[in-house]
Amino acid sequence: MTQATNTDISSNFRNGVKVDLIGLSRYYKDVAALKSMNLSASPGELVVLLGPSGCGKTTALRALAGLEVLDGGTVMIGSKDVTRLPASKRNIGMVFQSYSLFPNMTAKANVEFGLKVRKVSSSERSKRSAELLDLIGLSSQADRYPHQLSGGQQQRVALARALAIKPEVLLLDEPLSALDAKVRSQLRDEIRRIQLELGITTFFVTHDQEEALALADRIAVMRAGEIEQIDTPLSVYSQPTTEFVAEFVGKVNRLAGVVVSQEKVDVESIGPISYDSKNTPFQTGTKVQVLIRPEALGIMISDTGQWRLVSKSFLGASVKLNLTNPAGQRVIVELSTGEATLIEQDSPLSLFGKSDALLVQRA
Amino acid sequence: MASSTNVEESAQSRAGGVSSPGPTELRPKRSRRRWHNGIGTVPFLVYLGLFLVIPAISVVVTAFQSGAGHFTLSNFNEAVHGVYLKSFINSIQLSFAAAIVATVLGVLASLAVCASSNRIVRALVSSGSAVFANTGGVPLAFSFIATVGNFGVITKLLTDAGFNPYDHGFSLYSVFGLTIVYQYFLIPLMVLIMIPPIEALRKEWVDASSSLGATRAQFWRWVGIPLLAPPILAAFIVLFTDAFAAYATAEALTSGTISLVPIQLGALISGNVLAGQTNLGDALGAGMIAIVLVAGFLYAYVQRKASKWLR
Repeated sequence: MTQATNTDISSNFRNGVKVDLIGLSRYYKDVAALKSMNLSASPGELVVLLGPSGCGKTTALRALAGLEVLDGGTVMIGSKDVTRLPASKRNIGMVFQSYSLFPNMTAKANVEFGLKVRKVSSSERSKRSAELLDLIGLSSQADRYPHQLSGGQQQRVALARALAIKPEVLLLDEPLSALDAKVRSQLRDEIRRIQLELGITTFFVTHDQEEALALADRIAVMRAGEIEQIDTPLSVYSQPTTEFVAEFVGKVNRLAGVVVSQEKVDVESIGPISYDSKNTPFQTGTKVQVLIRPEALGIMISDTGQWRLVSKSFLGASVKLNLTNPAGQRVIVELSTGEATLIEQDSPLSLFGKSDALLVQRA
Repeated sequence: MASSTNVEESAQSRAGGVSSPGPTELRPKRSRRRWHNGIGTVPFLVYLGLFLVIPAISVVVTAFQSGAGHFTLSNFNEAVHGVYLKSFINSIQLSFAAAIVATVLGVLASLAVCASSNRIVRALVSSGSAVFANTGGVPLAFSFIATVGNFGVITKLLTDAGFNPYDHGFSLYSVFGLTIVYQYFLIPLMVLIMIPPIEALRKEWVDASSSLGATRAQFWRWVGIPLLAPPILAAFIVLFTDAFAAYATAEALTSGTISLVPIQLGALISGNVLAGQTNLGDALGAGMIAIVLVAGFLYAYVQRKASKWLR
């Protein structure tokens, strides 16, 4: 039943469109929420806007939805310029952070709302809401009011409601932030499954890097109204172009070092570590700051080692180790649980680079 | 989980309930706490009993008694005929009209206040409404007489301009005039009641309806008004009963020339009682209580219909 229905639904969506945000600007008095921001999404792509609070990610999403007045720029959906169209005419589905379901309507009536506005016949509305409630696995809750549903169920209904109007673009504004960890992870996977199934171009706003890495085709990391880097999750994580991206996406150690060759940098208290010098070539002898991921460092127990274990945090498959040395430097190293059991509190430890430094920049 | 607890409880009760501290030992403590929680309401309940329940019962009982203390329906018979019937009709018409006008204007004013991003305006309206909602009696009557009375400032200005409203059917000293005067305290009362529920309408609902293609009018039709209907209905009943019981303003403005139930009651309390009308005032009071109760039940019924989504 679900399989057949989903095929029907996805046939309505297999026309994901290209979306272009060109030079979007938005100012609140003198403060810039968006500074001439450019962003494009390919048909059917899921782009995550990731950044800290106040970076402009929600403003960008609301501008795309038509809920925010822009001071400059152009919003293109497909080949159509929608910059001056009101939200109600853009055919964009949007899921909000929370509490956006109409409390006076049942789950079914909420899903049918956009169709009712479009004067779709009652029988067609019922058919479509049944399909969508089936898609999100809430057919049995159709007659419940929002306050009778859990937070996760409410967000599923909000997703079904947004999809009911067969939108050209789907926008999700931190839809999982009010949910507990387990429901969040389940719903995250479900959103991705449905998005892939329907092939709908989607923008997802979050400040949660784990969510961004798990969901995105591409991640746009934002800071102060601008995109710092836009790339695949792997590239954003392993090849950040700026210090901000390196520190915002994943954990990072910041250590002093000296460039010793085209490919190597000698990191203080650790030793030589290789780095990719293609984008940032430095002359030998240049004092630099080296950013290294915790999992890029290895630990050896050696009598001459100066590092000592301060604390261990068990993360399940891996263990996070906090180390310090007599100079007061601190680093975080992440090892597999098996390896970490060998490290004891008073063991003298040496560190070495297992893989490339993340980023090297002039000190 | 629940069933296992039940099993434990029943096992414990079979064993005499002495093995370990269990739910049976906790229960009295909890109920004692609940009893303590209720103690704060006692003064209020005593006050209600002394000044609302006992007088109301006394009024109703006395309304069925003659001057000699015998059971009779003659007080009610008198109350629903002649000038007293007219007073009930006038009072209901006046209260209904005044409450309807104040409800509509009050909701619009509250929406305007809530739409304003100016904090000072909102604070001024809130505190001003609290003051005006409690204004009435002689000062209010005087201010209207001074402005739109027979020789009021505005009446004079209009007369000088060639339009005397009193020559065109307007009179401040009529049910229509009272309806206008009552707005002075009813609209602010409506604003005070309606600001919190309007502020509780979430911006996300407006945004969601826009993104789903709805116009503002469609949002209000299908979401905003259904959500505000229960508080508006509640407020309407409050305004109706407020207007229904208002005495001082009507008395000061019309000197009793318009027959309203509170004014008739006032006259009877002042001693203007004819032979055989000893307990007529109680019958009028009982009638007022009945009307307010009917309004209350109507409200509860409509509220139940309008807010099924809350259950």
